[in-house]
Amino acid sequence: MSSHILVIDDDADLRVLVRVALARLGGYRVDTARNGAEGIAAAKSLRPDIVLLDMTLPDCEGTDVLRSLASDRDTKDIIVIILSASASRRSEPELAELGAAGVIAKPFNPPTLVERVKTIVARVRP
Amino acid sequence: METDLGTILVVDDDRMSTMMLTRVLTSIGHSVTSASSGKAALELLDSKAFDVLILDCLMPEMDGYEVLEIVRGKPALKDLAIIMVSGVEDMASVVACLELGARDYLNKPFDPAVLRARIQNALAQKRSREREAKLYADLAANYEKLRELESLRDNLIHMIVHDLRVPLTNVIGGLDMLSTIASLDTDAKELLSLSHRGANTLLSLINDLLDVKRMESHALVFERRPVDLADVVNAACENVAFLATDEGVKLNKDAPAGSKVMGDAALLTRVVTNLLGNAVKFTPSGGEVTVRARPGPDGSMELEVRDTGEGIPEDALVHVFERFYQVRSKRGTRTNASGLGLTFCKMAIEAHGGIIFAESTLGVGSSFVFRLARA
Ligand SMILES: Nc1ncnc2c1ncn2[C@@H]1O[C@H](COP(=O)(O)OP(=O)(O)O)[C@@H](O)[C@H]1O
Repeated sequence: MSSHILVIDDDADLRVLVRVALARLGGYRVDTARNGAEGIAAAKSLRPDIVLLDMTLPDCEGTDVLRSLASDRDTKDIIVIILSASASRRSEPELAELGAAGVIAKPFNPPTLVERVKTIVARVRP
Repeated sequence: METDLGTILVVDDDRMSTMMLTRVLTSIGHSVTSASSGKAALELLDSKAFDVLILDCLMPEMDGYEVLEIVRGKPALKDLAIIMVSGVEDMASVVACLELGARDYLNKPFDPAVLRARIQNALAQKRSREREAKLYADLAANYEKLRELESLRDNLIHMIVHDLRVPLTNVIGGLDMLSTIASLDTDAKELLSLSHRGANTLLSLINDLLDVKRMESHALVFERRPVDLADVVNAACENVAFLATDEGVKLNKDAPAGSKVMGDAALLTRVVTNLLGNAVKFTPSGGEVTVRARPGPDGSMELEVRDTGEGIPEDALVHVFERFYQVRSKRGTRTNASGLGLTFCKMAIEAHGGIIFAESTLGVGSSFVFRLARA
């Protein structure tokens, strides 16, 4: 059962929106982190099942976090889903190559987000 | 050179002369019509289009000069190329005709080679004038189209801005009312407050856009009376105090009372608030923002907002006052920004007859300065 999600995003309002949506509509347990360093530390200590990762972070690139999570024994099994603004330069196959399970385009409305997370998780953990 | 086969009207009372001209010109390929008097020529000119008029100076009844005067008075014939014909002994009337707008002249007796060259020359000039006129007409039409598009765009912005404001105000009002309901849990309260922030950001973007539009169309009315910059600075500092505390930025002010300028207190307060807001936004926690008022050069009062922030790259510095301009920053997506704040500042200061400029060193900080006439 994949039920614990860590959200890494620097936008405080977006963290609230995503947290409430995932908890209320999806029944997930949700933690949040504000930047890459905090996110990586939280992933190691909290061991979530899923990470929702923003691509533009204040302290590093989203891809740096992605690589770091994929290369660490403690975090490599986490399902990482990318949250990406349409302007993002990375293509989906490129991100998959780096270990992302899926990409959700920003902006999204909360119910769609929850649906997309469920779909992606069901695909990688049938 | 390829021969331009323009149509030619030959006017001379001397039949030998018209016959000779007609023969030479027809042999080159021109289509030639002849008339033996000024009156007959004017009738022909009214009924048919010609490229070149070859006109004898000396004719009984109506001479060449008179015909020329009448032709020059007809707008429809303004592109007609006119070549005067005279004997060598009558150069004075040739000069008068050239002054009146004839293109060229020919001396009798005619030399066929010279005749051909002069005609080609006249036709070339006429064609280039026609091309010019067409280009000019195209240009004028395009300019008109552009102006129509521009005013359409302005109306569109105006409409959108006004149509956005009303529903948005309702959204904000609704959220305000919702948040007064006591039974809300923490999640609901947080959702409400983020929606509220989002709506307010949108509203201030719309208001910025409206202000800049108003400034552009000179529809923003403002006062011109003595204003103490010390008061302006105090009011502006109050506006950004919360933001500064929140961001951990120290706010210093040095504006002695009596720093008077001519202007509109409310507008100037908004300008300084804008500059201070930017300075705080772009200065990391632990940094300082200083606002200073002091006498400037040439009887001006000067206000400076200096920060110890990230600075602005040199190539971007020249653009920061432009509409919608935002420096690409590593901090990535900033929500509360339109790129219109400094545009507003510049327009407001310039409407006051003042100047505003910026200096910056990357990694050290930025300084925004405006100068206004002292009151
Ligand atoms: N004090 C400052 N320090 C660094 N950059 C600044 C400062 N003030 C303005 N800028 C840059 O100038 C750009 C334009 O500013 P402005 O017109 O106020 O628009 P906005 O702040 O809404 O983006 C900003 O995006 C920012 O990059």
